Amino acid sequence: MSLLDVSELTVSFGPDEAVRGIGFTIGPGEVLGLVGESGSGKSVTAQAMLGLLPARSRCTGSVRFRDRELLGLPERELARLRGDRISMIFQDPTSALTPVLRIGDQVAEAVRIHRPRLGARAAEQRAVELLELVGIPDAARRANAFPHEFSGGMRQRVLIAMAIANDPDLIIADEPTTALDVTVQAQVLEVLRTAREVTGAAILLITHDLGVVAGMADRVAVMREGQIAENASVTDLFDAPSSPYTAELLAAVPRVDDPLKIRGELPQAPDVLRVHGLTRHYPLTTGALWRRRTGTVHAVDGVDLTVRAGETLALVGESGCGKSSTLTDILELRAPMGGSIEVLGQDVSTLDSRRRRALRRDLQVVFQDPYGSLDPRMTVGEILAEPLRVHGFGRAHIGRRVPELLDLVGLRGDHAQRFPAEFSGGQRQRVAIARALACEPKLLLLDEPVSALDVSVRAGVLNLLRELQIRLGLSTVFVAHDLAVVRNIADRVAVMHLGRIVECGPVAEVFAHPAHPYTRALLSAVPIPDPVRERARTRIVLAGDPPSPATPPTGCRFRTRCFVFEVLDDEQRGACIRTDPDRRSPDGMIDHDVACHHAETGYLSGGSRR
Amino acid sequence: MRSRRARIGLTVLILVYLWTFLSPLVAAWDWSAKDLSAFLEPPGGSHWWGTTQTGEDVYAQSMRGLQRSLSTGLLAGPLATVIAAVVGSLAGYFGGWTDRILMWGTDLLLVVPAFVLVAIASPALNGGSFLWLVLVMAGLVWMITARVVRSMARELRERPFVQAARYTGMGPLSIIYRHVLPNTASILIIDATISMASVVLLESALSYFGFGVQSPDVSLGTLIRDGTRTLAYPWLFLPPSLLLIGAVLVVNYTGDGLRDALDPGSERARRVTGS
Repeated sequence: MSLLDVSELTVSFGPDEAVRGIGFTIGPGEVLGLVGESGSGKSVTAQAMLGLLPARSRCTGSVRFRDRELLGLPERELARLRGDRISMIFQDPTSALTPVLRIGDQVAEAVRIHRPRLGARAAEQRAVELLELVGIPDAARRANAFPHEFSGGMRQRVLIAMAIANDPDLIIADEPTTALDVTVQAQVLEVLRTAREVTGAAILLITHDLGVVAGMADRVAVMREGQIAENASVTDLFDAPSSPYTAELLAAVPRVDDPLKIRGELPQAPDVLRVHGLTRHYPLTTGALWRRRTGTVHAVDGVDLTVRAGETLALVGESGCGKSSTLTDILELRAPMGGSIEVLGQDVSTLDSRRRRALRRDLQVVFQDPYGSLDPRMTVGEILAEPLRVHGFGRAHIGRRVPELLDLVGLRGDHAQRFPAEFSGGQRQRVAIARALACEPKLLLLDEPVSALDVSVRAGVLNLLRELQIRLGLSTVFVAHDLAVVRNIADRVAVMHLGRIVECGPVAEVFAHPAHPYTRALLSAVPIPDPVRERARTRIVLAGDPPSPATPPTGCRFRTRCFVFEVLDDEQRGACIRTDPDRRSPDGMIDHDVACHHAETGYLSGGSRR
Repeated sequence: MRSRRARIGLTVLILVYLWTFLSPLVAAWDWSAKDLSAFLEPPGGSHWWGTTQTGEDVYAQSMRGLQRSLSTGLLAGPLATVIAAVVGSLAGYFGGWTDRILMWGTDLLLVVPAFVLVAIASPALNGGSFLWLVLVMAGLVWMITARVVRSMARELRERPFVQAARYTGMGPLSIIYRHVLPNTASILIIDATISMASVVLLESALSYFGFGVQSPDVSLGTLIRDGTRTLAYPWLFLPPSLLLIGAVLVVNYTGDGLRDALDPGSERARRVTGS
């Protein structure tokens, strides 16, 4: 007998049908992955099941939970079910918690609302137990903290604790790890697995990430435009997808275990970008009336980078590691707070405003957000003409160049008359790329150019970028948080952690023989969209949260999360605690350097841990 | 234009304003003429809305007053918006000391009561031209809009498309002109209409107290003042009062309509597109 039986479910908002007659079942204790791109109707489905949709929507069909029809159930009845038998975990752990109540009280409330006879003390105790279960260290004390004192990953753990508070039969998790970094995502998925073991609940896991599904789900339903394209067991789906859409999606996902497309040996070329010892600190102030400086955020703290002509360097790291700050400092073309930046052979601190402006022509940028990076009041043609006009090109040249640019990025010439609002995210990102290429720059900086795009669109934009690199011989810096994305587009990769670059080398080298423990952890945390490999591999799950850049640890900045540090003896640890390792090439590594005291000692290769 | 309300309001406003110019061609009496054979006549005959104590035609004077009030509003409202756009966008985009100095001036004008300023300036303006009055009016109502534009410009400054323009090498003034101002345009258009209404009211109030339009010229304010010296003759104060109320209502109605049409965040617009 199935636990949840959805059939012919249709949800419409006015004339638009968001969900069109879908059906699926979830058995007791089963994990169903509901996968789809944005706008496919997967979240709407979950909300419809729990009666959480706004009043102007209309639902028809049937949602049966333990042979009880949920659609059309009165609000009181639904409220009794929600959080008790069926619970939900939301995507954004920040807005899902009330900012003015203590964590412990919020969890206790989730317990008491369905167990009114349980005393306040008992509920509090249960809350602490639950927090311990989801891996909040020192739970009894942390229960008194407020949500803002918790990191995103910790908040998501709290939400999981609330979801399992009443031992539900079904947990609906709506993109539970999308807002989190990969290393934290790995932790949270681990907690979700524990939660499932403890409660024996079935899970409806809604996500766009096929890798997450491969590791978690028993069955997978793929949604597209409000319909289910395919519903199969996880092994069947990944082995032999029966719907062309699924096959397309699977092919589009960049994977960390893909074979590399080697571009061949790069000739020795001059450096187009040289960054040395770059530093950017922000003051941390408190006090409402008299501002006092109480500390320093070390956003960027001694970054060294070189990019050679014609090469792509990927800058990878978790959010808050300083990669965007680094990029901004380069783009400003002004003397940085500390260190030096040299663009195309010119030290930026010596530039006057005329030469700085001239240099801007050779240095262009593409931003992450395709919706924010184009002026909504201008047509695409005007947007593309702008950099040309700024650099003094004539009307005739602009008239020729705009269609040429559109063609270059795979858009049609008549798109020039349209406004950005008429384009999809992927098309807008193409326009942004065309704008960056308008003046034929020599160095292109890409700030997470595909992170905001759906999987299938992402592949198209990545292919375009790869093609342009080869055709135009561009030098690029590609900032990303996703290692799988940079794997096939970069020549070299630099891994950044807490304002420092901890490892840098050719892509093939770094991916095959990661020498820094952080790189290893990052690689291990990226889910692979292949259920067999994903479940078989040994995973390094880092403990705890990234340290705050306001109070970096002494010595090696990674040691508080380092799994190598954990197994070292006191003498070896001393080096990590006292001295900050410099980047150096370990024996036998060419053009590949690492900032770790123990890169050679064998703790890393072959997993020979003591 | 999507909003029916804005269309109706604008049409009525334009027609009424045109009429105040065309009316002398039709009416029997000129606003400055005195009919020495008819003092304090109630409405009727060739004096459609009656006459005053000195034999002036109330209809002709009301039309002249309405024309004066609307002209002030039509000129000073948009002028105030231009000042607000310039000050607000400069302060918001540049930040730092530019922002501090400009906002200091704005706040100073906000806290000093407009009436006191005009009362002090009034003797100097006495006999001054109509354009001076427009300038003073515009100078008194732009501050709040400037603050709104400033906060929008601060937000726009951080948007990727503005950053992209900056990193392309575009100068700050071109960025303000090409990116910041067009993206505040809907607020500015709405605001120009709303300040028009406040200018019409302010002008009437000032004229009522003798600081605005000076005799022999008339405005709705002076007419209401002269008409309410005694309440025994309602045809003296009712027409200008009703015209004033009507004018302000129509301008506000237009402004609301424009807001619905241009500002997707407003409640009505959301309901229209969301259904």
